[in-house]
Amino acid sequence: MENIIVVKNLSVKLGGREILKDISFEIEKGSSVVIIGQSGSGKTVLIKTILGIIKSYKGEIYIFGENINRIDEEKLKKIRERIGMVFQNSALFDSLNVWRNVGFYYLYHSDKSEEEIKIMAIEILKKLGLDESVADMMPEELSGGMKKRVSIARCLISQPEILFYDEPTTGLDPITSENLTELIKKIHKDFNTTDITVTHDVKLASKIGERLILIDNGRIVESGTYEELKKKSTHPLIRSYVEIGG
Amino acid sequence: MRNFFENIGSKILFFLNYIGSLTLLTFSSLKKMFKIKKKSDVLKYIYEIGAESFPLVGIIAFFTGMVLVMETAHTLKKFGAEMYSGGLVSISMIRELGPVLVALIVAGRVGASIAAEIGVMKITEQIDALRVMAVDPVSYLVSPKVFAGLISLPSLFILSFFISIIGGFFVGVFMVGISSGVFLYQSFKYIGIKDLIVGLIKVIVFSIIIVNVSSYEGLKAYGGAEGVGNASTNAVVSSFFLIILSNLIITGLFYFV
Repeated sequence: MENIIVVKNLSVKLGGREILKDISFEIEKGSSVVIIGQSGSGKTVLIKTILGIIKSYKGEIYIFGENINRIDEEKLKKIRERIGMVFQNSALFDSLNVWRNVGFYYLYHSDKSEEEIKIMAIEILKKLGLDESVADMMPEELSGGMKKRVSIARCLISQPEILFYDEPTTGLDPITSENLTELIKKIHKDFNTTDITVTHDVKLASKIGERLILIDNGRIVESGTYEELKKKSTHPLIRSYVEIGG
Repeated sequence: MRNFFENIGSKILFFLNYIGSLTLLTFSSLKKMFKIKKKSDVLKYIYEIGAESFPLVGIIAFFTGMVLVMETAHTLKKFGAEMYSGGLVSISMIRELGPVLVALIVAGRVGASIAAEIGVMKITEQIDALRVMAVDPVSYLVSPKVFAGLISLPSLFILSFFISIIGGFFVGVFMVGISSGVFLYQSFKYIGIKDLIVGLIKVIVFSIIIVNVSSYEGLKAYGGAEGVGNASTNAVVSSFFLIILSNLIITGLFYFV
Protein backbone atom coordinates (compact mmCIF):
# COMPACT_ATOMS: atom_id res chain seq x y z
CA MET A 1 0.00 0.00 0.00
CA GLU A 2 1.23 3.50 -0.91
CA ASN A 3 2.44 5.78 1.90
CA ILE A 4 0.42 9.01 1.86
CA ILE A 5 2.40 10.67 4.69
CA VAL A 6 6.04 10.07 5.52
CA VAL A 7 7.72 11.77 8.48
CA LYS A 8 11.50 11.44 8.78
CA ASN A 9 13.59 12.45 11.81
CA LEU A 10 11.31 15.35 12.66
CA SER A 11 12.34 17.68 15.49
CA VAL A 12 10.48 20.82 16.55
CA LYS A 13 11.44 23.55 19.00
CA LEU A 14 8.96 26.04 20.43
CA GLY A 15 10.16 28.92 22.59
CA GLY A 16 13.61 27.35 22.75
CA ARG A 17 12.22 24.05 24.13
CA GLU A 18 12.42 20.87 22.07
CA ILE A 19 8.84 19.60 21.79
CA LEU A 20 9.33 16.84 19.21
CA LYS A 21 12.49 14.76 19.08
CA ASP A 22 13.50 12.71 16.06
CA ILE A 23 10.02 11.51 15.07
CA SER A 24 9.74 9.11 12.13
CA PHE A 25 6.75 7.17 10.83
CA GLU A 26 4.74 6.45 7.68
CA ILE A 27 1.01 6.42 7.13
CA GLU A 28 -0.53 4.25 4.45
CA LYS A 29 -3.27 5.50 2.17
CA GLY A 30 -6.71 4.55 3.45
CA SER A 31 -5.55 3.63 6.94
CA SER A 32 -6.66 5.01 10.30
CA VAL A 33 -3.76 5.86 12.56
CA VAL A 34 -4.04 7.19 16.10
CA ILE A 35 -1.24 9.17 17.68
CA ILE A 36 -1.76 8.70 21.37
CA GLY A 37 -0.11 10.32 24.35
CA GLN A 38 -0.70 12.22 27.53
CA SER A 39 -1.37 15.96 27.61
CA GLY A 40 1.75 17.93 26.74
CA SER A 41 3.43 15.02 24.97
CA GLY A 42 3.56 16.93 21.67
CA LYS A 43 0.68 15.31 19.74
CA THR A 44 -1.00 18.50 18.56
CA VAL A 45 2.34 20.08 17.70
CA LEU A 46 3.06 16.99 15.59
CA ILE A 47 -0.07 17.31 13.42
CA LYS A 48 0.31 21.08 13.12
CA THR A 49 3.88 20.52 11.96
CA ILE A 50 2.73 17.93 9.43
CA LEU A 51 0.24 20.51 8.12
CA GLY A 52 2.96 23.17 7.86
CA ILE A 53 1.34 25.42 10.51
CA ILE A 54 4.36 24.98 12.81
CA LYS A 55 7.85 24.90 11.28
CA SER A 56 10.29 22.12 12.15
CA TYR A 57 14.00 22.80 12.57
CA LYS A 58 15.05 19.31 11.54
CA GLY A 59 13.63 16.45 9.52
CA GLU A 60 11.39 16.00 6.51
CA ILE A 61 7.66 15.62 5.96
CA TYR A 62 6.26 14.18 2.74
CA ILE A 63 2.56 14.43 1.94
CA PHE A 64 1.35 12.95 -1.37
CA GLY A 65 5.08 12.54 -2.16
CA GLU A 66 5.87 16.28 -1.78
CA ASN A 67 8.36 17.49 0.81
CA ILE A 68 6.29 20.23 2.45
CA ASN A 69 9.38 21.99 3.82
CA ARG A 70 10.72 22.53 0.32
CA ILE A 71 7.68 23.68 -1.59
CA ASP A 72 6.34 27.18 -2.07
CA GLU A 73 3.17 28.52 -0.44
CA GLU A 74 1.07 27.95 -3.58
CA LYS A 75 2.00 24.24 -3.76
CA LEU A 76 1.38 23.90 -0.03
CA LYS A 77 -2.09 25.40 -0.57
CA LYS A 78 -2.80 22.79 -3.26
CA ILE A 79 -1.83 20.04 -0.83
CA ARG A 80 -3.96 21.55 1.93
CA GLU A 81 -6.96 21.54 -0.42
CA ARG A 82 -6.77 17.73 -0.24
CA ILE A 83 -6.67 17.69 3.57
CA GLY A 84 -9.21 18.36 6.31
CA MET A 85 -8.73 18.93 10.01
CA VAL A 86 -11.14 18.76 12.91
CA PHE A 87 -9.74 20.97 15.65
CA GLN A 88 -9.88 20.24 19.38
CA ASN A 89 -12.28 23.10 20.06
CA SER A 90 -13.92 22.81 16.64
CA ALA A 91 -12.49 26.22 15.53
CA LEU A 92 -15.73 27.25 13.80
CA PHE A 93 -15.70 30.80 12.47
CA ASP A 94 -17.87 32.56 15.03
CA SER A 95 -18.85 35.40 12.71
CA LEU A 96 -20.42 32.96 10.21
CA ASN A 97 -23.54 30.83 10.61
CA VAL A 98 -23.40 27.04 10.38
CA TRP A 99 -23.99 26.61 6.65
CA ARG A 100 -21.44 29.31 5.81
CA ASN A 101 -18.94 27.56 8.10
CA VAL A 102 -19.59 24.24 6.39
CA GLY A 103 -19.52 25.76 2.91
CA PHE A 104 -16.59 28.06 3.63
CA TYR A 105 -14.24 26.13 1.33
CA TYR A 106 -16.51 26.67 -1.67
CA LEU A 107 -17.53 30.20 -0.66
CA TYR A 108 -13.87 31.16 -0.78
CA HIS A 109 -12.42 28.91 -3.47
CA SER A 110 -15.21 28.55 -6.03
CA ASP A 111 -17.63 30.56 -8.13
CA LYS A 112 -20.62 28.48 -7.00
CA SER A 113 -23.66 30.49 -5.93
CA GLU A 114 -24.55 30.83 -2.24
CA GLU A 115 -27.77 28.84 -2.85
CA GLU A 116 -25.83 25.91 -4.33
CA ILE A 117 -23.34 25.96 -1.46
CA LYS A 118 -26.11 26.11 1.14
CA ILE A 119 -27.77 23.03 -0.42
CA MET A 120 -24.42 21.18 -0.37
CA ALA A 121 -23.84 22.20 3.27
CA ILE A 122 -27.30 21.05 4.37
CA GLU A 123 -26.84 17.74 2.56
CA ILE A 124 -23.57 17.04 4.38
CA LEU A 125 -25.02 18.18 7.72
CA LYS A 126 -27.87 15.69 7.27
CA LYS A 127 -25.38 12.90 6.50
CA LEU A 128 -23.77 13.63 9.85
CA GLY A 129 -27.06 13.45 11.69
CA LEU A 130 -27.79 17.16 12.02
CA ASP A 131 -31.14 18.71 11.26
CA GLU A 132 -31.62 21.25 8.45
CA SER A 133 -32.67 23.87 11.04
CA VAL A 134 -29.10 23.93 12.36
CA ALA A 135 -27.88 25.46 9.08
CA ASP A 136 -28.91 29.01 9.96
CA MET A 137 -27.77 28.89 13.58
CA MET A 138 -24.64 30.60 14.83
CA PRO A 139 -21.80 28.49 16.32
CA GLU A 140 -22.40 29.81 19.85
CA GLU A 141 -25.91 28.34 19.75
CA LEU A 142 -24.58 24.79 19.28
CA SER A 143 -23.65 22.16 21.86
CA GLY A 144 -20.10 20.73 21.97
CA GLY A 145 -21.11 17.59 20.08
CA MET A 146 -22.95 19.57 17.40
CA LYS A 147 -19.94 21.83 16.95
CA LYS A 148 -17.74 18.77 16.35
CA ARG A 149 -20.18 17.47 13.74
CA VAL A 150 -20.29 20.86 12.01
CA SER A 151 -16.51 20.95 12.09
CA ILE A 152 -16.39 17.48 10.51
CA ALA A 153 -18.95 18.60 7.91
CA ARG A 154 -16.75 21.61 7.08
CA CYS A 155 -13.90 19.20 6.32
CA LEU A 156 -15.94 16.65 4.40
CA ILE A 157 -17.58 19.11 2.02
CA SER A 158 -14.33 19.46 0.06
CA GLN A 159 -13.94 15.66 -0.11
CA PRO A 160 -10.48 15.50 1.50
CA GLU A 161 -8.23 12.49 1.06
CA ILE A 162 -6.67 12.90 4.51
CA LEU A 163 -8.57 13.80 7.69
CA PHE A 164 -6.86 14.92 10.88
CA TYR A 165 -8.74 14.83 14.17
CA ASP A 166 -7.29 16.68 17.15
CA GLU A 167 -8.71 15.27 20.41
CA PRO A 168 -12.17 14.69 18.86
CA THR A 169 -13.84 13.47 22.06
CA THR A 170 -12.33 15.94 24.52
CA GLY A 171 -14.94 17.86 26.50
CA LEU A 172 -17.86 15.67 25.40
CA ASP A 173 -20.12 13.61 27.64
CA PRO A 174 -19.74 9.78 27.39
CA ILE A 175 -22.80 9.26 25.16
CA THR A 176 -21.89 12.06 22.74
CA SER A 177 -18.32 10.80 22.78
CA GLU A 178 -19.50 7.29 21.91
CA ASN A 179 -21.69 8.60 19.07
CA LEU A 180 -18.82 10.64 17.69
CA THR A 181 -16.51 7.62 17.79
CA GLU A 182 -19.02 5.67 15.72
CA LEU A 183 -19.38 8.63 13.35
CA ILE A 184 -15.61 8.82 12.81
CA LYS A 185 -15.56 5.10 11.97
CA LYS A 186 -18.47 5.53 9.57
CA ILE A 187 -16.86 8.52 7.83
CA HIS A 188 -13.61 6.58 7.41
CA LYS A 189 -15.52 3.77 5.74
CA ASP A 190 -17.99 5.83 3.66
CA PHE A 191 -15.63 8.57 2.49
CA ASN A 192 -12.59 6.32 2.14
CA THR A 193 -10.33 8.83 3.89
CA THR A 194 -6.94 8.35 5.47
CA ASP A 195 -7.47 9.30 9.12
CA ILE A 196 -4.88 10.58 11.57
CA THR A 197 -6.28 11.15 15.04
CA VAL A 198 -4.41 12.53 18.02
CA THR A 199 -5.89 11.80 21.41
CA HIS A 200 -5.19 10.85 24.99
CA ASP A 201 -8.40 8.80 25.00
CA VAL A 202 -7.29 5.14 24.83
CA LYS A 203 -10.88 3.97 24.44
CA LEU A 204 -11.31 6.06 21.30
CA ALA A 205 -7.88 4.95 20.04
CA SER A 206 -8.73 1.28 20.55
CA LYS A 207 -11.97 1.67 18.59
CA ILE A 208 -10.88 3.70 15.58
CA GLY A 209 -7.15 3.07 15.26
CA GLU A 210 -5.87 0.38 12.93
CA ARG A 211 -2.43 1.37 14.20
CA LEU A 212 -1.47 3.32 17.32
CA ILE A 213 1.66 5.46 17.69
CA LEU A 214 2.42 6.20 21.34
CA ILE A 215 4.22 9.47 22.01
CA ASP A 216 5.81 10.42 25.29
CA ASN A 217 7.82 13.56 25.99
CA GLY A 218 8.12 14.34 22.27
CA ARG A 219 9.39 10.88 21.24
CA ILE A 220 7.70 7.84 19.74
CA VAL A 221 7.97 5.16 22.39
CA GLU A 222 5.78 2.38 20.98
CA SER A 223 3.68 1.58 17.96
CA GLY A 224 1.40 -1.20 16.77
CA THR A 225 -2.23 -2.30 16.86
CA TYR A 226 -4.17 -1.82 20.08
CA GLU A 227 -4.06 -5.56 20.74
CA GLU A 228 -0.26 -5.56 20.38
CA LEU A 229 0.14 -2.58 22.70
CA LYS A 230 -2.29 -4.11 25.16
CA LYS A 231 0.02 -7.12 25.45
CA LYS A 232 3.46 -5.55 25.38
CA SER A 233 3.12 -1.91 26.50
CA THR A 234 4.33 -0.91 29.94
CA HIS A 235 3.29 2.72 29.42
CA PRO A 236 0.96 3.97 32.19
CA LEU A 237 -1.53 5.44 29.66
CA ILE A 238 -2.14 2.01 28.09
CA ARG A 239 -1.79 0.00 31.28
CA SER A 240 -4.30 2.09 33.24
CA TYR A 241 -6.90 1.58 30.49
CA VAL A 242 -6.18 -2.16 30.23
CA GLU A 243 -6.51 -2.51 33.99
CA ILE A 244 -10.02 -1.09 33.97
CA GLY A 245 -11.00 -3.73 31.44
CA GLY A 246 -10.28 -2.00 28.12
CA MET B 1 26.65 44.75 34.44
CA ARG B 2 26.38 41.75 32.12
CA ASN B 3 22.68 41.45 32.90
CA PHE B 4 22.22 45.11 32.04
CA PHE B 5 23.76 44.65 28.56
CA GLU B 6 21.88 41.37 28.04
CA ASN B 7 18.68 43.19 28.89
CA ILE B 8 19.41 46.03 26.47
CA GLY B 9 20.46 43.54 23.77
CA SER B 10 17.28 41.48 24.11
CA LYS B 11 15.15 44.65 23.95
CA ILE B 12 16.95 45.74 20.74
CA LEU B 13 16.49 42.27 19.24
CA PHE B 14 12.79 42.31 20.19
CA PHE B 15 12.35 45.75 18.59
CA LEU B 16 14.17 44.72 15.39
CA ASN B 17 12.13 41.52 15.21
CA TYR B 18 8.91 43.52 15.74
CA ILE B 19 9.74 46.06 13.04
CA GLY B 20 10.92 43.31 10.65
CA SER B 21 7.80 41.18 11.10
CA LEU B 22 5.53 44.22 10.87
CA THR B 23 7.23 45.36 7.65
CA LEU B 24 6.84 41.89 6.12
CA LEU B 25 3.14 41.81 7.07
CA THR B 26 2.64 45.32 5.64
CA PHE B 27 4.21 44.46 2.28
CA SER B 28 2.34 41.17 2.15
CA SER B 29 -1.04 42.79 2.97
CA LEU B 30 -0.51 45.57 0.41
CA LYS B 31 0.52 43.08 -2.27
CA LYS B 32 -2.45 40.81 -1.59
CA MET B 33 -4.83 43.79 -1.59
CA PHE B 34 -5.09 43.48 -5.36
CA LYS B 35 -6.13 39.82 -5.14
CA ILE B 36 -8.95 40.05 -2.60
CA LYS B 37 -11.43 37.27 -3.37
CA LYS B 38 -14.44 38.53 -1.43
CA LYS B 39 -14.96 42.15 -2.50
CA SER B 40 -18.02 42.41 -0.24
CA ASP B 41 -15.68 42.17 2.78
CA VAL B 42 -14.09 45.49 1.75
CA LEU B 43 -17.50 47.21 1.84
CA LYS B 44 -18.21 45.68 5.24
CA TYR B 45 -14.91 47.00 6.61
CA ILE B 46 -15.41 50.45 5.02
CA TYR B 47 -18.63 50.59 7.01
CA GLU B 48 -16.90 49.45 10.22
CA ILE B 49 -13.76 51.59 9.88
CA GLY B 50 -15.17 54.62 8.10
CA ALA B 51 -18.92 55.03 8.52
CA GLU B 52 -19.03 53.92 12.16
CA SER B 53 -16.10 56.21 13.06
CA PHE B 54 -17.67 59.21 11.34
CA PRO B 55 -19.93 60.44 14.19
CA LEU B 56 -17.04 60.51 16.66
CA VAL B 57 -14.60 62.02 14.15
CA GLY B 58 -17.23 64.60 13.16
CA ILE B 59 -17.98 65.71 16.72
CA ILE B 60 -14.30 65.92 17.67
CA ALA B 61 -13.43 67.84 14.47
CA PHE B 62 -16.33 70.25 15.12
CA PHE B 63 -15.18 70.90 18.69
CA THR B 64 -11.54 71.20 17.61
CA GLY B 65 -12.48 73.87 15.05
CA MET B 66 -14.40 75.76 17.76
CA VAL B 67 -11.54 75.52 20.27
CA LEU B 68 -8.95 76.68 17.74
CA VAL B 69 -10.92 79.86 17.06
CA MET B 70 -11.62 80.38 20.79
CA GLU B 71 -7.91 80.07 21.60
CA THR B 72 -6.66 82.31 18.81
CA ALA B 73 -9.37 84.90 18.08
CA HIS B 74 -9.05 86.85 21.35
CA THR B 75 -5.27 87.14 21.08
CA LEU B 76 -5.46 88.10 17.40
CA LYS B 77 -8.20 90.63 18.20
CA LYS B 78 -5.67 92.65 20.24
CA PHE B 79 -3.81 93.23 16.97
CA GLY B 80 -6.97 93.64 14.92
CA ALA B 81 -6.19 90.37 13.16
CA GLU B 82 -9.03 88.12 14.41
CA MET B 83 -10.16 87.46 10.82
CA TYR B 84 -7.05 85.28 10.39
CA SER B 85 -8.34 82.70 12.89
CA GLY B 86 -10.15 80.98 10.00
CA GLY B 87 -6.83 80.47 8.27
CA LEU B 88 -5.33 79.10 11.46
CA VAL B 89 -8.08 76.51 11.74
CA SER B 90 -7.72 75.38 8.14
CA ILE B 91 -3.90 75.23 8.11
CA SER B 92 -3.63 73.35 11.39
CA MET B 93 -6.44 70.95 10.47
CA ILE B 94 -5.17 70.14 6.99
CA ARG B 95 -1.51 69.85 7.87
CA GLU B 96 -1.37 68.41 11.37
CA LEU B 97 -4.45 68.11 13.54
CA GLY B 98 -6.79 66.64 10.94
CA PRO B 99 -4.71 63.63 9.91
CA VAL B 100 -3.45 62.94 13.44
CA LEU B 101 -6.87 63.35 15.10
CA VAL B 102 -8.58 61.07 12.59
CA ALA B 103 -5.82 58.48 12.89
CA LEU B 104 -5.82 58.49 16.69
CA ILE B 105 -9.61 58.16 16.85
CA VAL B 106 -9.63 55.29 14.35
CA ALA B 107 -6.65 53.60 16.06
CA GLY B 108 -8.41 53.74 19.41
CA ARG B 109 -11.79 52.64 18.11
CA VAL B 110 -10.99 50.24 15.27
CA GLY B 111 -7.40 49.19 16.02
CA ALA B 112 -8.34 47.59 19.33
CA SER B 113 -11.29 45.81 17.73
CA ILE B 114 -9.18 44.46 14.83
CA ALA B 115 -6.57 43.14 17.29
CA ALA B 116 -9.27 41.56 19.48
CA GLU B 117 -11.09 39.97 16.52
CA ILE B 118 -7.93 38.45 15.02
CA GLY B 119 -6.56 37.62 18.49
CA VAL B 120 -9.65 35.59 19.38
CA MET B 121 -9.42 33.81 16.02
CA LYS B 122 -5.77 33.03 16.75
CA ILE B 123 -6.28 31.55 20.22
CA THR B 124 -9.36 29.56 19.18
CA GLU B 125 -7.43 28.04 16.23
CA GLN B 126 -9.65 29.73 13.62
CA ILE B 127 -6.52 31.12 11.95
CA ASP B 128 -5.08 27.58 11.77
CA ALA B 129 -8.41 26.39 10.36
CA LEU B 130 -8.11 29.01 7.59
CA ARG B 131 -4.61 27.80 6.74
CA VAL B 132 -5.72 24.17 6.64
CA MET B 133 -8.51 25.18 4.24
CA ALA B 134 -5.85 26.69 1.95
CA VAL B 135 -6.92 30.24 2.83
CA ASP B 136 -4.14 32.73 3.48
CA PRO B 137 -5.05 34.61 6.71
CA VAL B 138 -3.35 37.81 5.50
CA SER B 139 -5.25 37.77 2.25
CA TYR B 140 -8.56 36.94 3.96
CA LEU B 141 -8.34 39.01 7.15
CA VAL B 142 -5.77 41.78 6.74
CA SER B 143 -5.76 42.93 3.10
CA PRO B 144 -9.51 43.78 2.90
CA LYS B 145 -9.12 45.88 6.06
CA VAL B 146 -6.07 47.65 4.60
CA PHE B 147 -8.05 48.42 1.44
CA ALA B 148 -11.01 49.67 3.50
CA GLY B 149 -8.67 51.81 5.63
CA LEU B 150 -7.17 53.40 2.51
CA ILE B 151 -10.63 54.52 1.46
CA SER B 152 -12.04 55.33 4.91
CA LEU B 153 -9.29 57.41 6.50
CA PRO B 154 -8.76 59.89 3.63
CA SER B 155 -12.56 60.30 3.45
CA LEU B 156 -12.77 60.93 7.19
CA PHE B 157 -9.87 63.36 6.93
CA ILE B 158 -11.54 65.44 4.20
CA LEU B 159 -14.85 65.46 6.08
CA SER B 160 -13.18 66.34 9.38
CA PHE B 161 -11.48 69.30 7.67
CA PHE B 162 -14.76 70.80 6.49
CA ILE B 163 -16.51 70.05 9.79
CA SER B 164 -13.75 71.80 11.75
CA ILE B 165 -14.15 74.86 9.51
CA ILE B 166 -17.88 74.81 10.31
CA GLY B 167 -17.07 74.55 14.05
CA GLY B 168 -14.66 77.47 13.78
CA PHE B 169 -17.20 79.41 11.71
CA PHE B 170 -19.78 79.19 14.51
CA VAL B 171 -17.42 80.62 17.12
CA GLY B 172 -15.74 83.09 14.75
CA VAL B 173 -18.92 84.51 13.24
CA PHE B 174 -21.45 84.27 16.09
CA MET B 175 -19.21 84.78 19.12
CA VAL B 176 -16.20 86.77 17.95
CA GLY B 177 -18.10 88.77 15.35
CA ILE B 178 -15.99 88.08 12.26
CA SER B 179 -17.98 88.53 9.08
CA SER B 180 -18.96 85.16 7.60
CA GLY B 181 -17.56 85.98 4.16
CA VAL B 182 -14.21 87.06 5.61
CA PHE B 183 -13.98 83.97 7.81
CA LEU B 184 -14.60 81.60 4.91
CA TYR B 185 -12.31 83.53 2.58
CA GLN B 186 -9.50 83.44 5.16
CA SER B 187 -10.15 79.76 5.83
CA PHE B 188 -9.30 78.77 2.28
CA LYS B 189 -6.85 81.53 1.38
CA TYR B 190 -3.73 80.09 2.99
CA ILE B 191 -4.03 76.43 2.10
CA GLY B 192 -2.65 75.05 -1.11
CA ILE B 193 -2.78 71.80 -3.02
CA LYS B 194 0.51 70.78 -1.37
CA ASP B 195 -1.13 70.92 2.07
CA LEU B 196 -3.97 68.72 0.90
CA ILE B 197 -1.59 66.20 -0.70
CA VAL B 198 0.63 66.05 2.41
CA GLY B 199 -2.47 65.61 4.60
CA LEU B 200 -3.65 62.78 2.37
CA ILE B 201 -0.20 61.15 2.36
CA LYS B 202 -0.26 61.27 6.15
CA VAL B 203 -3.65 59.62 6.55
CA ILE B 204 -2.75 56.97 3.97
CA VAL B 205 0.42 56.12 5.91
CA PHE B 206 -1.50 56.21 9.21
CA SER B 207 -4.22 53.90 7.89
CA ILE B 208 -1.60 51.35 6.76
CA ILE B 209 0.02 51.58 10.21
CA ILE B 210 -3.25 51.17 12.14
CA VAL B 211 -4.52 48.12 10.25
CA ASN B 212 -1.19 46.32 10.03
CA VAL B 213 -0.08 46.99 13.61
CA SER B 214 -3.49 45.89 14.95
CA SER B 215 -3.58 42.79 12.75
CA TYR B 216 0.00 41.90 13.67
CA GLU B 217 -0.79 42.17 17.40
CA GLY B 218 -3.85 39.95 16.86
CA LEU B 219 -1.92 37.39 14.84
CA LYS B 220 0.72 36.98 17.56
CA ALA B 221 -1.78 36.86 20.45
CA TYR B 222 -1.47 33.89 22.78
CA GLY B 223 -2.61 32.75 26.20
CA GLY B 224 -6.40 33.08 26.27
CA ALA B 225 -8.49 36.10 27.20
CA GLU B 226 -5.55 37.89 28.80
CA GLY B 227 -3.58 37.49 25.57
CA VAL B 228 -6.41 39.06 23.57
CA GLY B 229 -6.58 41.96 26.03
CA ASN B 230 -2.83 42.50 25.74
CA ALA B 231 -3.06 42.38 21.94
CA SER B 232 -5.73 45.12 21.95
CA THR B 233 -3.74 47.33 24.31
CA ASN B 234 -0.50 46.83 22.37
CA ALA B 235 -2.30 47.55 19.10
CA VAL B 236 -3.50 50.94 20.36
CA VAL B 237 -0.24 51.92 22.09
CA SER B 238 1.99 50.87 19.16
CA SER B 239 -0.33 52.52 16.61
CA PHE B 240 -0.33 55.80 18.58
CA PHE B 241 3.45 55.77 18.83
CA LEU B 242 4.00 54.96 15.14
CA ILE B 243 1.40 57.55 14.04
CA ILE B 244 3.14 60.33 15.98
CA LEU B 245 6.57 59.18 14.80
CA SER B 246 5.56 58.96 11.13
CA ASN B 247 3.77 62.33 11.39
CA LEU B 248 7.04 63.86 12.56
CA ILE B 249 8.95 62.26 9.68
CA ILE B 250 6.43 63.27 7.00
CA THR B 251 6.13 66.85 8.31
CA GLY B 252 9.93 67.07 8.44
CA LEU B 253 10.26 65.78 4.87
CA PHE B 254 7.67 68.16 3.37
CA TYR B 255 7.93 71.33 5.43
CA PHE B 256 11.35 71.35 7.08
CA VAL B 257 14.02 69.69 4.93
